[in-house]
Amino acid sequence: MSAPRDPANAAVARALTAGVAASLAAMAAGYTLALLRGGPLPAAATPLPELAAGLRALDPGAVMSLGLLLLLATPAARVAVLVWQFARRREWLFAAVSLTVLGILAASVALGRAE
Amino acid sequence: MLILLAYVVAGAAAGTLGALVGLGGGIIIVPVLSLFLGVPIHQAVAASLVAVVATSSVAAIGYVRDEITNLRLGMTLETATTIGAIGGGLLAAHLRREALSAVFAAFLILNALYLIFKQSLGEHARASEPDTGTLGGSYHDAVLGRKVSYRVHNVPLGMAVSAVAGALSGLLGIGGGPIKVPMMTSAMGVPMKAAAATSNFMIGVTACASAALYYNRGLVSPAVAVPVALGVAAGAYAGSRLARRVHGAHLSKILAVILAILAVQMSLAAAGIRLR
Repeated sequence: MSAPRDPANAAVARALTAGVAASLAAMAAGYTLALLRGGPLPAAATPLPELAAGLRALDPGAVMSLGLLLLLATPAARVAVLVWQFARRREWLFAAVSLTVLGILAASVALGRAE
Repeated sequence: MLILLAYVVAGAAAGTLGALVGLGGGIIIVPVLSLFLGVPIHQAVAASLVAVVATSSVAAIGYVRDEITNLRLGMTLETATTIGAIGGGLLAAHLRREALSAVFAAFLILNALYLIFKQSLGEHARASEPDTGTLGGSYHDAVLGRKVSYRVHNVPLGMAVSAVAGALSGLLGIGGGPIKVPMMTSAMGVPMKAAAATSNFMIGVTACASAALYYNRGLVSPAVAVPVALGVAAGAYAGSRLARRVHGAHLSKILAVILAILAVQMSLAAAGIRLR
């Protein structure tokens, strides 16, 4: 694996690595917490409004849910990175295309909350 | 405790096999979770979507760094896959368990056929096209030892097929590579390596679009999704290491048989018959 010449490729690879690493760390931490405390693992993910309180209390379910959310946010983050990278080199068409995908992802979150 | 270990093992096996033959792993995770580990199929689909985001993101790091992925083509087709994925995710809520199992069984058959005929899609000795157009690309092919450049054709057809692949992803919790890769190689003129890397690149975003729906419905169960995701990430990494030493062609045929058996069991489950 050689270092990419294209800065867009390097930025996308960095965003993916950071997102995956952070989410796997949170998942493993939550999983370990759950095993240490004993009892069943949480069957449902912590809803977003309760996440902050759960994290402060070091609730294993909340930490695992944070890991899941970080993982799901990773592809969205790399789309955002591409919006920026295309805009920087004035490839407006692809900046707009990437922004559209980001908008569709935002719409899916809104749809999920409205359901 | 034992069931947790089973989830990790299922994820690891799916991740390793998936990386070895070029599938995302969802095609193995959903049937194993729902047929053998007693996970309701809608929850199995949700766990699989999370796992698919993990494998896609891990694999994409390498492909993107090596500049094989076509970022412009990927982003363009993602507008269609994400809209399709939202449609599939919305539809899944209205499908009964049996109906979902039946659709999944059909898709397993398609995957088995893809594994058997994949070789014939492979690399034809093709002339490089110096003018790559707006969407085309080029990459260094280590096996051929030269730069491969290509133009992209039939974009409207590609968008339509991508929307269908996205819908199946949102409905079944799979990546949809066996739809997108043949479409890109045969209809759009994209070389196999770039098609596989670009398909993988699109999968994470596509799965992300419907996973938000599943998360808000409370179907993403940390008890299932976290061990599966941890297993699949480790398996995908191990598989990509092993890939250089294992004969992919034989393994593809073996996996095709396994998928066909799973398809029979999924069909039986759809008919309300459960064998173990």
